[in-house]
Amino acid sequence: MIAPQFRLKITSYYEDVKKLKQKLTSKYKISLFLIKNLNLVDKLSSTSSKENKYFIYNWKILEKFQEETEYLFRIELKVFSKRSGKKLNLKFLIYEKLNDFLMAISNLNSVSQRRINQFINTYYPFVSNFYLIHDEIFSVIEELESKFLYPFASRWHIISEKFGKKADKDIRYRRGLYYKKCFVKARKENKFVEKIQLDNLNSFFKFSNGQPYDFKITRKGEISISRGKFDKFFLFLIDKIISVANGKYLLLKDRSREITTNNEINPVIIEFFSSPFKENEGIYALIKILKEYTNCSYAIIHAGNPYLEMIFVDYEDNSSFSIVTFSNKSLIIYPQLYASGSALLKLFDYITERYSDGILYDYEDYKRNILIDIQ
Amino acid sequence: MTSRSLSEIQYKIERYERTINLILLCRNFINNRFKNIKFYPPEENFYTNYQTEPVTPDFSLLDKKQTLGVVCEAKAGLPQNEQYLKNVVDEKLNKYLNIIKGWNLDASKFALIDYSLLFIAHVENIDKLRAYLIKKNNENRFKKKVSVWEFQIFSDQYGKGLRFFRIRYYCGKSSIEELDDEANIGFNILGNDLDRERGTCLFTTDPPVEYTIMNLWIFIFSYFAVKRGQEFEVTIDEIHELIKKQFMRWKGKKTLLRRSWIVDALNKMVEYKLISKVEKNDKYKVKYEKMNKKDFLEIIKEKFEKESEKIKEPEIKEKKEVKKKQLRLNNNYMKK
Repeated sequence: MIAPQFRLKITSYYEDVKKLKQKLTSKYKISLFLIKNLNLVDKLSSTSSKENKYFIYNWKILEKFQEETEYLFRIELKVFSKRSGKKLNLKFLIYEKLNDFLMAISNLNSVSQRRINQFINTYYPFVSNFYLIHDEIFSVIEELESKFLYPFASRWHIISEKFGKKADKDIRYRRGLYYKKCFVKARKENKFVEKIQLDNLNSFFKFSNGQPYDFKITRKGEISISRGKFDKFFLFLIDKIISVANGKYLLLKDRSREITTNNEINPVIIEFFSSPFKENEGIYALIKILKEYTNCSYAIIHAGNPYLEMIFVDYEDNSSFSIVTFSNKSLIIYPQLYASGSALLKLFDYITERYSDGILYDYEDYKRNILIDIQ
Repeated sequence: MTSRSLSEIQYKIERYERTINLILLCRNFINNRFKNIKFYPPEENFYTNYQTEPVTPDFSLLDKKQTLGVVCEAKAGLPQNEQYLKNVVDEKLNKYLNIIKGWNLDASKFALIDYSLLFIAHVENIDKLRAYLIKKNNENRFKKKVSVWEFQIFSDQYGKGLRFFRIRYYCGKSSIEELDDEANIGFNILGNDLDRERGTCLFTTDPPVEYTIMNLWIFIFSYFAVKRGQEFEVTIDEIHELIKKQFMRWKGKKTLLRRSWIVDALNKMVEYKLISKVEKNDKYKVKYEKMNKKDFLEIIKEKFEKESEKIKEPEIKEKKEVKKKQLRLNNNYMKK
């Protein structure tokens, strides 16, 4: 996805930027975002300040590289919190592939990285977060392992039980445990891996440069590199994550009724790994978490016994949809006149994070399969 | 709008949506099984001799070759109350068996057609409805044929939790014989497919005002907010046009959408302070944002209760005074 020459440029860029060099050789963080119909570097060049309910942002582009549709720039961002009055001065890198994705790269602490992410998210819905479910994190690591023949062990991982229990997250310290075992064990317990810190399994496995790679990956598509250079290893990892996230976005985009053929409704399905709607409790748990969705209005038309029907508007970009249970293990979302891909992705992430992991399907494909199954 | 609990409002809306689903189910049935029968969604399709209200059945069927028609009333949730059943059925019988004189085939054509009346009711109410129709027919023989179909919602037998809608012939005769034969076999469709179609056909006849308010806020105003920003002004005509274009899509047919439904809902929203009216240009001003964490229907219910409390307040005081006087009189009487 990233042009090979430019990959080298990114890598060498770290080496070139003197101030960052000392720190970036070891620990740095990468946050990934999808971008559609937005040229962030242009936006950031045309203005230099922005504010929302919570923060005032002022910025300056310090350096900029460009190669066709790819940009790499260093930015200085000043964040003022309206609530606490605290000021933060952040310097970081943004890599942008036009109309595809961008990465924010810094060597800052987690709070600062979060502020950077919040700043980039002010361009929502043109910017959308990345979301990976349990199975996707697993397959990304698996591909990395088979490509580089580099076995990983978990240092620690966080699993959650979900079904509306936000607080029920469990950190498991399993230093040296082969990562596949962590994933399999979590699923056996009907739990899902949200974050995992991976180390090389033993010192015997090293690349030719003698450099081991240790990193953390989260369901939000954040990567924290604690050991290893930003080279082909991490670029491969990023490519994999992007292709997973893009696949989901492609499935969800262009479903607003205002642009579909004959303005028909083009629904999507989330299928869960268990059958939560078999009992009414499963439906009530979903209602409970949907009621807590940030900045929305909803109306429940039918709640439980034996199905759920609610309508929903997300004020973030005024996307609206109906949510109805389809079967004991699946939920159907009917996008309305305007429903952006970002809003649908955000809703999908919210449901899979708070309720249960699930897989996305186009309604027609899913129905064909499930009805064949019945016949 | 009378005072009612949230579950009553939800039930009323659900019943309305179920009626639309039922009409859509019948449309699917007709389009699937018959080539010669045309399905007409709710619209003013009939001529009458009298200066009466327009006749708007839930849907109608027409066999142009045989020049036979069927006028259909879908009752997705008839209440248990027998008086209600009597009122509804009597009104429909009177309206459809006596008033219709002709059929508006296309914009200019008019045909005198023999037709029958079809009732569709939930399987739970079907026996009651049948008994009532027999009783009415015995009292005064119907001028036209009358038939009854039953409908039900059921889950698949394999325990997957899929929801199906089903219709089936129950009793009586319709003017199109093959219709009875096919309906005897029965027809079912996935509930979610109907929900999907319903998303584009939100309105039929006389929606509950809460339903119109809810759809205006969540589906219609959200769209205006996308186009005009979070604070915008809108006219009744613009809303009417948008609903007609986007939410009355009965497969290309123009259907009935009364302006009064929208006006009533907007007036209520002004009353509840959800929106405000700009008197000078006859527009409505909407500040489109989250109000609180509650269910939108609950917000409407609470606003309604507040408004009705304000109106009722003086009456309550008067009543209390009367009661006090009566008590005193009684007390005095007891003392005497």
